Amino acid sequence: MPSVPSMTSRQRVLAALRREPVDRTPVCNPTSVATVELMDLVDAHFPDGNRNPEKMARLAATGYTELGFDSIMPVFSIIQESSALGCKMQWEEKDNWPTVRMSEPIWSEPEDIKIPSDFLTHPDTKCVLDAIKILRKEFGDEVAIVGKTMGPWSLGYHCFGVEKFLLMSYDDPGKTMKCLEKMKEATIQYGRAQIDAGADAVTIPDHATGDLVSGEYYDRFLKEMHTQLVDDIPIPIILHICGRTVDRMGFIAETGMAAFHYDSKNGADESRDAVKDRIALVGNINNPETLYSKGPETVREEVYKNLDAGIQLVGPECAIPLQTPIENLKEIPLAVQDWHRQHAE
Amino acid sequence: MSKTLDLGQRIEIHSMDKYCQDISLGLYRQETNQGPQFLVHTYAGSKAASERVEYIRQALVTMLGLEAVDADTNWLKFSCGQDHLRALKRSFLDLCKLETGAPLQPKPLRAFDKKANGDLEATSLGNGKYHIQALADEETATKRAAALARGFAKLCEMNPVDGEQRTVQFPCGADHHEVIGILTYRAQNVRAAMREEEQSSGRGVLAPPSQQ
Repeated sequence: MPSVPSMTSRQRVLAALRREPVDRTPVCNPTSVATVELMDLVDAHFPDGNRNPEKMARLAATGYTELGFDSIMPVFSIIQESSALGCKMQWEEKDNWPTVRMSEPIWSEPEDIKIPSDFLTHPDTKCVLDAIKILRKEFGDEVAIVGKTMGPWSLGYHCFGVEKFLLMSYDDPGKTMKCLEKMKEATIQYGRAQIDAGADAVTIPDHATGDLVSGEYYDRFLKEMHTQLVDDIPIPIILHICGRTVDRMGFIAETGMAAFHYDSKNGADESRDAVKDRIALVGNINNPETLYSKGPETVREEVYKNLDAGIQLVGPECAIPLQTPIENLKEIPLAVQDWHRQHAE
Repeated sequence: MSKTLDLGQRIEIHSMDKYCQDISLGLYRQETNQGPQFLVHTYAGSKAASERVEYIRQALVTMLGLEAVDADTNWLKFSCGQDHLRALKRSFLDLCKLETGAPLQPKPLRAFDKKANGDLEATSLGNGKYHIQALADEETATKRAAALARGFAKLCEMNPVDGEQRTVQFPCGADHHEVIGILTYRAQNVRAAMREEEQSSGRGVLAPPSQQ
């Protein structure tokens, strides 16, 4: 790695997203690193932490101030905009994730899709925008602030129901495309609003996951749409898709997005081979086995595996379990620093 | 300046305490020259949270038989200097279900067993060895005693004693009456205990929309 002058966390993350040289690999969380203990520490429990901007910002900031990550990501859940679109919500309690009641879908035809006029002023979308503003004001240019806007495929699951949406994609691809095009407007509006609020980058989770759809499906339905999003949301975009996705990483790499947040079901080396340096990779420390259930030694091994493979940004593979031990999360930046120290000698 | 502490490995967490402002109570473990030691900790800063932590700590002392490492800290250890990790974790979660102020006293080594339709009793044979017997002299009751012994073997990581279906022993070779007492109920229903553990391990894990 060429010698690069010392960078701030923000500079480090943004350079890595551009695949430019960095002083060390940034530790980045495109998704949540909130835990129940961090909620206690800053007195910002779920569900309030998802609905109150001050609490959301306070909890998110612990990723930087307590864990030592190079990014702050205040959008813990995947349901803020679905709430604003009118989905029925289950906000849950401190130790569980809010969910959309997908068994009670709100749309069934393309004509049903309407982005409400108060979409960006609805309390659950505005909460995120206000939290980003608070964080930008508090941390200035010190740390990268990453927002999140859900992709049209995920919104399809939320608003049409998973099964119905998938069946529609088999039965009537044209209608599905029409729906995706209309829902994409929500993705764009919310992404742009987060840019205005001060986000440096946005994660777009779009759950065309390996367990439900094929790489060919990604190519057919989403590749072009994701390519357009790069122009529509003019800051670095981190695409997030869970599960085994090597079969679509080549397509994802062609979209022009800055980075792909990849799951531990994909090996670091095979993922790098698949994207061929056309997109940065972020990840892929395993959540349920490693961060949640094992100890710092195993976390360190996985961090080293990513660094040895040349992964540009290291972090958990997805939103971490809320009961994840803090010591495992703090190990990620420590391991990154140690690895670079060893490789500088 | 980080406010989180280096407390070693967090081995268990009660994520939402209904008796104290929904705080999370963590059980931490540190390895020392004198063996493993344990600490109850919360990151919640209220006075009630501190009182709650002290109550659970006291419950571990009284009802599980842990003892203070020294007078200056809140760290605890087993008198044998060993871990008994599985029994400790299970008991910690059960003790967190007690309301602050509820009287604390060790559980007896004898408990009613519905399936045996009578009491089952653990008798200490010394050196960490316990023999489980049914007070009713019936075949079903004897089978239940053997089942309870197997439950202890699983939950307390005890070893079966050769040729004795109803005798189990702590690997440390020390007696732990309080551990046997508090886990009798769980050992009687070991499958339910395992099921509960499995269910709680999935809580707080975000599933993608495709799996919700």
